Amino acid sequence: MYALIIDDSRAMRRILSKIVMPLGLEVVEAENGQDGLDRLEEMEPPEVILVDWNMPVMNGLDFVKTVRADGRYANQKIMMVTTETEPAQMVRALMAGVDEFAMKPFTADVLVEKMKLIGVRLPNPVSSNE
Amino acid sequence: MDLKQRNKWLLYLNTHSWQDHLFWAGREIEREQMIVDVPTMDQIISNVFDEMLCMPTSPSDSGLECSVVGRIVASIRITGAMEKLIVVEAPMATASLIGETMFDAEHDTLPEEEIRDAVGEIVNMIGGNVKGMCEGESTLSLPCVSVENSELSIPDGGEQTIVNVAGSPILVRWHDMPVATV
Repeated sequence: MYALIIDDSRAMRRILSKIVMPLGLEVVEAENGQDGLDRLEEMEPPEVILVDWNMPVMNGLDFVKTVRADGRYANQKIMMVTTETEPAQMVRALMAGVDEFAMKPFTADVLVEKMKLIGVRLPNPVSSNE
Repeated sequence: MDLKQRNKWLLYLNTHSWQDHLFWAGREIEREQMIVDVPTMDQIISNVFDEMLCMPTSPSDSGLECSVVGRIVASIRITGAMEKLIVVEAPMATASLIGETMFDAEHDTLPEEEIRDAVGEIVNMIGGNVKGMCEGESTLSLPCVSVENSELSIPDGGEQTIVNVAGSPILVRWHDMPVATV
């Protein structure tokens, strides 16, 4: 079972991986939306996609729109992990098909609880970070 | 929205679902333009370092030495309803410490590229939180990170705060800045 983590910051990908891996998910990383689409084609459907909004090449919003336009990923769990907090931006992302938000900065507990909230299956739901 | 309300809003965002976000935002939050003063910025910095990275922050008594050379400078622009330039400056030792924490790396093992990436993400988080204080729509640029070896030069105008992160100083400054002058 996999998590796909898409963020242009390697540091942020590492932080997210450190939270997700103890939950029993293997991590596949991508550095922008286009890279995320390429990874998604290569891998089995992930349990969850954690995607940043502001990235070069392809941003997170366009990534989500592209994924949702593909019928294979109709039930894919997608969480935006972002600094975007304005209600107008949230509406835009929700209309594109995002399931949930976590705002940077976040804690491990917040991220885990939000994944549980949207029904992400976690092999080891008690994080070692707790 | 004062600082207390702002912190309540941030806490709410990360402890409730998106349906609640929008309900709360629509009913209770008056998203007026908030002044980004030093206490507000100190709180944002604390949210990033204390809460997320578990790196304790404290006010700096001594400041950032003007003779410090070899430092990481990361900046990000907010354009739109809010026009600001936000800059994070960290001596290389502080930047390394931040990078080692974010990458979970051993001391003195992190390449400069990773250190720059880490400080870039710090200014991204700070900038994003500042942008979130604005009522109208604004856009956050991608961070720009460089290594500076010249003496620290703080331009006139704008505001700044110096905070110790795990005992090492960083400087955060912010300016109202129309896009054309950046």
